[in-house]
Amino acid sequence: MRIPFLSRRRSPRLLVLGLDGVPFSFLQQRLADGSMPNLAAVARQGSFRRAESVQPTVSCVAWSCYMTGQNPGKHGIFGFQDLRPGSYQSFIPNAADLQSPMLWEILSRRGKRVIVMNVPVTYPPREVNGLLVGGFLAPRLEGATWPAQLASRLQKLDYKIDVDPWLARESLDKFYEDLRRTFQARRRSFLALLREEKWDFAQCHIMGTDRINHFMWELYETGHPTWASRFVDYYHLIDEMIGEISALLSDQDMLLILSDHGFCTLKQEVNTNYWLQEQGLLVQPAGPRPRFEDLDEQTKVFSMTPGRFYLNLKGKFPRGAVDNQEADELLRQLEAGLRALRDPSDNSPVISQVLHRDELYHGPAAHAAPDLVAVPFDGYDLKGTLGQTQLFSRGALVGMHTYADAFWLAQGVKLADTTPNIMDGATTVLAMLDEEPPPDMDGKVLAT
Amino acid sequence: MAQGAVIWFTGVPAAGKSTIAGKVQELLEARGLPVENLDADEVRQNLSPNLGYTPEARDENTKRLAWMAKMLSKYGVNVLVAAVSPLRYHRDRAREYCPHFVEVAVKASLETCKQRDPKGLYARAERGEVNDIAGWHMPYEESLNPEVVIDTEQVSVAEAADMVIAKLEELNYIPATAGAEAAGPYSSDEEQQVAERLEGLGYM
Ligand SMILES: Nc1ncnc2c1ncn2[C@@H]1O[C@H](COP(=O)(O)OP(=O)(O)OP(=O)(O)O)[C@@H](O)[C@H]1O
Ligand SMILES: [Mg+2]
Repeated sequence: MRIPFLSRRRSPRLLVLGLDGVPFSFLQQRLADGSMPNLAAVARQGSFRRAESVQPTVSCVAWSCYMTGQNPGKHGIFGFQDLRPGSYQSFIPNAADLQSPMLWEILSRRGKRVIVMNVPVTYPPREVNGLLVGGFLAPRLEGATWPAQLASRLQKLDYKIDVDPWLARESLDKFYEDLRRTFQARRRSFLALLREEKWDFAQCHIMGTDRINHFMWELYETGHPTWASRFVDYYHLIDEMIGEISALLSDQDMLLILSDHGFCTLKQEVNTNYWLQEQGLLVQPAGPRPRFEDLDEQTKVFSMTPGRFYLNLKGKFPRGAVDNQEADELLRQLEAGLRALRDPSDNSPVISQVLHRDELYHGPAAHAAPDLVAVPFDGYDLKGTLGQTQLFSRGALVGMHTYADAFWLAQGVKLADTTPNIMDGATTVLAMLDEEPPPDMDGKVLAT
Repeated sequence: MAQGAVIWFTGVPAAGKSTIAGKVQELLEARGLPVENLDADEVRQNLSPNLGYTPEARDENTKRLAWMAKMLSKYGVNVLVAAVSPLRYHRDRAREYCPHFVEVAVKASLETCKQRDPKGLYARAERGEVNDIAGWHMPYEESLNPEVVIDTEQVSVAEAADMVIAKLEELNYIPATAGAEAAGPYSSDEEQQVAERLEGLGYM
């Protein structure tokens, strides 16, 4: 029970814990089997909701939406890889490419002190009133922090930006050890900062959940004799951190734990550029590792991971092959073809939805968006790698992202009775801190 | 003295020629390169305000622009020309005059141009006061082999300008930058490192 005149003695504080790629349904099971007791305690007092992600469903797009409160047509991040304007030159967008202010920049300007750790697309660090450690797009810790000296402080705590995904191909044991070590150092570091610093808003991002899911989800889901329980053990560590955080918060502090997308077992990787080749719409450039730069006028459509389709338009790309007049017809043809795509092993459809640019994105950066985004049924992971020689394949990755099974769990504030979307992040966080969201945000306020 | 480039923007009124040329000018100046902007409107105003828009007048005007561009570029100046230059031979003549010639076809649909209408020209035509707009009342001949095509309904002004700069670099008409600034905060080693991490996760 809050006593009104006591409860707002000082401005509210909010702590956000981001658990990348953790499904709502998975946590429901953990609550049911008692393997995450601290999470359960928060859930008992808070609002726990299934939540939605963004298209395409990848973390760098989703967290960009979270921290700007905007759709990608405004913030300008459409994937882990994008093309330089007017060219086929690919690059990895990061914080320098994000077109809009981040939540913590807005809070900083309004005099709040912030601690932000490891959120995707926060490297290179932008100035904040407080501390910021960039996420996994940072090549190393030096240069990834605001202020710069924070790096050496974290180094002493063995802080590591991310795990090495190639280890998983070498040995799951080594990979698991890397996951644990990286997580424990992050947990130690974040809690140290919480204790030692003054803050109004703090956010820590756990990337390891996404990583473990990518390489072990199937082992968990199929009940592998050793790995299924070790998988849950990793989540137990996260639960311990939730316990430590809860103990540190006062009654007036608020807590928001959320993920950006769900996960499911990957049945097949679907090589969309190979598919385009089969349709006669793309000519794969020759050579061992073809790049988008090598595409030419023989290609009418190309795609990038995951499910992003681009018409090779004249006037937009240097070796454009499609006139504006042809565009609509080509889009119709593409859409029909994608909808007809089936998995030959059981004849199940692969694509659940084909969305046009205008349906998904609006704003000054929308022209850089793909023309179409194909949304797969769970289990089919769309890959835009060039040079593939078959439509369906499988690699080391056994888990993939899902759109509709993310979660939000809030304590200290009641969430509105609707399905949260990751884009509602910044607006809701600002409202929780009694701050007015800027008018150009697209997200809803879910704090009631 | 090095030969300057002549960058000739052609397209119907309000397609975006002057706007993009202005941005290219900024980028070239920022690199410390000599630039002159011969916007058709300004040149007309200063040299021949009474020239008009008959086919003969347009012939005369594009010929003058081509000749001025040739003279300036001979002395290492990079020359921007933004002129409707509706007939192919207007541009081909300029190409003959100027050794480092880059034709930039700037496109926008008639509807879009009517909406943009920065000079109120299309509005005047709607009122019947003007009936000589290229691409509407008079022919506009599409370029056959332009060095750059820009569809301004698909790309922003900044992107359009980048496309022109990239072409100038590709043709070695201006020195290429190391690409470091374009690549953002990563060195190429670092970008490789991050790319490998993303590849390991199947994100590329
Ligand atoms: N992507 C774009 N590229 C260029 N201009 C654009 C673009 N999008 C919108 N515009 C707007 O379109 C208008 C183009 O006008 P501009 O004066 O550049 O045309 P122009 O081709 O030089 O026409 P004119 O032949 O009449 O001189 C400007 O108002 C500009 O802001
Ligand atoms: Mg003009």
